[in-house]
Amino acid sequence: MPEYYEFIIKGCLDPGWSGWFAGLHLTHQGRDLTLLSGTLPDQAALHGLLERIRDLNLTLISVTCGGSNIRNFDKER
Amino acid sequence: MNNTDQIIRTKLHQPFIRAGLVSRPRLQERIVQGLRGPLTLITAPAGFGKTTLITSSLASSRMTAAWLSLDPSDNQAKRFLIYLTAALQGVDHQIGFESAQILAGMQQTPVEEVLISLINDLDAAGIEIVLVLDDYQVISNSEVHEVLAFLIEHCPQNFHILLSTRSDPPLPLTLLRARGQMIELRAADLRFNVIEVDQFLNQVMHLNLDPDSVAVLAERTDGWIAGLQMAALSIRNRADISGFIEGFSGTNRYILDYLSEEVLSCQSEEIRHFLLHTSILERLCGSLCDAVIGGASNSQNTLEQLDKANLFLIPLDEEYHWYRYHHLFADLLRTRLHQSLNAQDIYRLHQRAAEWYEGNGLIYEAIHHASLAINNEYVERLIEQNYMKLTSRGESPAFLFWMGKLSKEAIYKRPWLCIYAAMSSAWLGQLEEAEVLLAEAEKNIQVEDPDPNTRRMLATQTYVKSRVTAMRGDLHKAIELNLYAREVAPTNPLPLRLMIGVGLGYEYFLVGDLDNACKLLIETIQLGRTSGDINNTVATSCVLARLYTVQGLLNKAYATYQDAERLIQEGGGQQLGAVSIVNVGMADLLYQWNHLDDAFTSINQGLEFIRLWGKADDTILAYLVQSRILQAQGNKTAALEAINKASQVIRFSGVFPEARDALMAIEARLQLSLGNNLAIDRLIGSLEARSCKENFFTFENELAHLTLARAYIASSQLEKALRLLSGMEESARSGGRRGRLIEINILKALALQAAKEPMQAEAALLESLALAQSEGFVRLFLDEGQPMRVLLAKKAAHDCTTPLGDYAVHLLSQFNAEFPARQPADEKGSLTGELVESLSRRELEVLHLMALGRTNLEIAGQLIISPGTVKAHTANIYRKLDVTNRTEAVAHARHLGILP
Repeated sequence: MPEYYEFIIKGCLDPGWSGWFAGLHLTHQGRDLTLLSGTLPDQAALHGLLERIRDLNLTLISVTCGGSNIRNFDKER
Repeated sequence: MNNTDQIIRTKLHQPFIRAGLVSRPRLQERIVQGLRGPLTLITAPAGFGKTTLITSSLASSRMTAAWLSLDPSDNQAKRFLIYLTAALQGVDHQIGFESAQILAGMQQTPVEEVLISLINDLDAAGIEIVLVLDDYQVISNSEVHEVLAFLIEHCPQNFHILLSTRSDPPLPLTLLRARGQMIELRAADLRFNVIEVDQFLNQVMHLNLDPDSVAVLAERTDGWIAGLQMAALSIRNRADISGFIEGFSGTNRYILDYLSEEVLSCQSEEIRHFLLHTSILERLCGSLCDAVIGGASNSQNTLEQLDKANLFLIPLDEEYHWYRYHHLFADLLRTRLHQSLNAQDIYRLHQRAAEWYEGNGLIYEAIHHASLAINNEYVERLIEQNYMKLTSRGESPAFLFWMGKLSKEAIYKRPWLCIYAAMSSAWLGQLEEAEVLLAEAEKNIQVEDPDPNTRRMLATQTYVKSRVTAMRGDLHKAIELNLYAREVAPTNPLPLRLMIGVGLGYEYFLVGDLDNACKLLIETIQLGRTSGDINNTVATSCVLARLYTVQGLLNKAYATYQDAERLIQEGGGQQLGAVSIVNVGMADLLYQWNHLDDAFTSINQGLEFIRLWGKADDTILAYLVQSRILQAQGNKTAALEAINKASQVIRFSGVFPEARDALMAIEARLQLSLGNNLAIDRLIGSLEARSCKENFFTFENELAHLTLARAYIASSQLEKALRLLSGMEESARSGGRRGRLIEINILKALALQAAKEPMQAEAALLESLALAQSEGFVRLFLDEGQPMRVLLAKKAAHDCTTPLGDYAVHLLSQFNAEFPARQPADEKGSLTGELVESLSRRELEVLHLMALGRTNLEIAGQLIISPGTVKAHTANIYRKLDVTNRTEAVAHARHLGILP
């Protein structure tokens, strides 16, 4: 079942990484956090994504699974 | 060496340590400590220097190490075990020798058996061995995790596993920690501290940085080695070092983003292009890179350049032929690749890689890249074209794995895939599955005006269908099908023609058409000899030998087995499965000649590796031969055990009528010997019901009829017996089945004797003796017991001068040697309360377990040794105690005070 997820990562990732992270939307939060957001088709995709985060030695701060509302982070920039 | 071997070598190659690295004695010491126990775990993300640390620790520990670098295609128990065994064999050839054979031979992998064999070998190796499993995080398959858990659980004292991974593996880590069986190093342990950072930057990379700069870099990278390496590479190429450090520390950009850009921007356009395009490859060599990049590129040169420049290229073998990128670097490159090329272009790169791999005979890698090129047609074609070749090497499970990735619809659409899947199912005796697949395949084959490929398809499909039809019992239809297959099949490939040849020959045999069978089998063997296909040729020889046995030509049968044996030896003697069925066949003949000891040795040799052959039919026949030998040796319990094993096999697998009838006949004889009248009546009922068809006296029904005749005799229905036997006699005679004719006349003689017709009985006896003499049949007579002995004695009494009389006397002497064969244990003169040769400690352990009623398999499991080893021990125990079975062994041991 597709779900909407938000991952918060330490550090500022270039938007070019979006393709690497299953096409999730990439925005910077504050000075040194990156937010990956979007829908993933299932649990397998979720775990695959977590592996990619791990493989780049990124520090994962949080994962949340939300409803289908899409928050607009552009406003916060 | 062939290409597959090359790839295997890269996986088993311990990575090369570059000179001049930061030495980390503290951590090395912890690892060496950890290597005293079963498991050492190093868990940290990529780029923490795990591999470097491991290789330097191994160098200082002086333990012998086996290395296995894992990748995602190892997510399959069989493939994992193959590589594991290969890695251990590299340490000591004795380790895993049996396991490798088991893995090579079987369609299905008996995982626990392979592991137990490996563990035994490790235990016996006598040296400290470390197994390094690098990149364990790629493993997600639960079966493989279970393999590892089993290894750790049953780890011999001298064996140590070192697991290097990016995530904690799903093993019982808490338990292992609590028991003190595991040492672990984690990211926090592996980070460089400031001193080590300084060492790296200044002494290894010669950057001449001041302490403040070093501190900044240590802080910014957080001791992450990959980050430091990148930073060092960036600094090396710059004039303005302080500017760089300021910029670097001032940014919050993901450091690899920042640094890789720096590093890449300093490279030439050509190198950048090279790096990006070859990043799709797990392993690189010059020629492969050339293929992927296209055009005229001197990739080998480029690789050497990159290696020298320390640009994250890791050599995988000693010849510097194969390399791989450091994982992180590869990830970075791939991301950039996806940013600069569109999807189609990237697929094209994978396509080129797939084609190179295919051209170089590395099929799994080809399939991998073909699927990444999203080229399903190509994937399917690769599977189709290589199935037969890889199946004959016992690698069909891997193919089934690849086919499992395709949807059922995809398989059904492509007739070859259906046919191959059906073939596998048929070989495993899964008839329903095979039938469904065959039906699907048939839908898609164009029968009118077929081209060579279609003819091959049609021939193969029909061959499989014939096999399934024969196992279902309709032999005439099966023959029709195989005749058609034979007609349609093209001249090449040879293996197909051989399979059809032996299949059709066997079906002729089963139906009693011995002439056609013989002709075809001999022809097929000739063909097989030229082809180098040892397995199919030996299979054919064994069928031919059994045919000769039915014709009563025991010597010819034996010569056939010997020829087959020679063929195997000439081919290098590797095919242990083929050797097994030859041994089983020979055991049967030795049994017929009453050379029981030789037969016993032969059947044990045959049974040892029969599972490598994997066919249910041959396994059943093997157990039945074993049971007859054991019975003749007086070991009733073990004989029954063997019969039970045979009936276990038949429960789970479809088989041909030969094995089914043979089992039925032996089980029936057992019933008859127990003298249970109710059971005998029931037996008669079912056999009579079965033969209620036309074409009554056929070879197909012969075993059943023989059994029925015995049942009639046992229940004193002698008229019926004789009527049946005379009908059978005519059929056997005209069919040239001399072997059966002997048996028929033996039964006739016994029935006539019981019917109080001594003259006729003697006539029948003479007939059987005449037929049997030149070939040395003994057991056919001996197995009839007392009544036959009486008959022979009568004959010998009034005639011991003619050749037949001679023969009767010879048979009588064999009877005397057997009955009474055994004196009660406590009358043996050699017993003085001591053994000539005392039991070893292991043998005592086995004996204790035997006394507790454990089976061989249970004993093997409990003592963690192979079933073969248990058998060897029991043979020794019997020998030393001068007994022939368990019950006697236990009793005798108790009598001697060895057991309480």
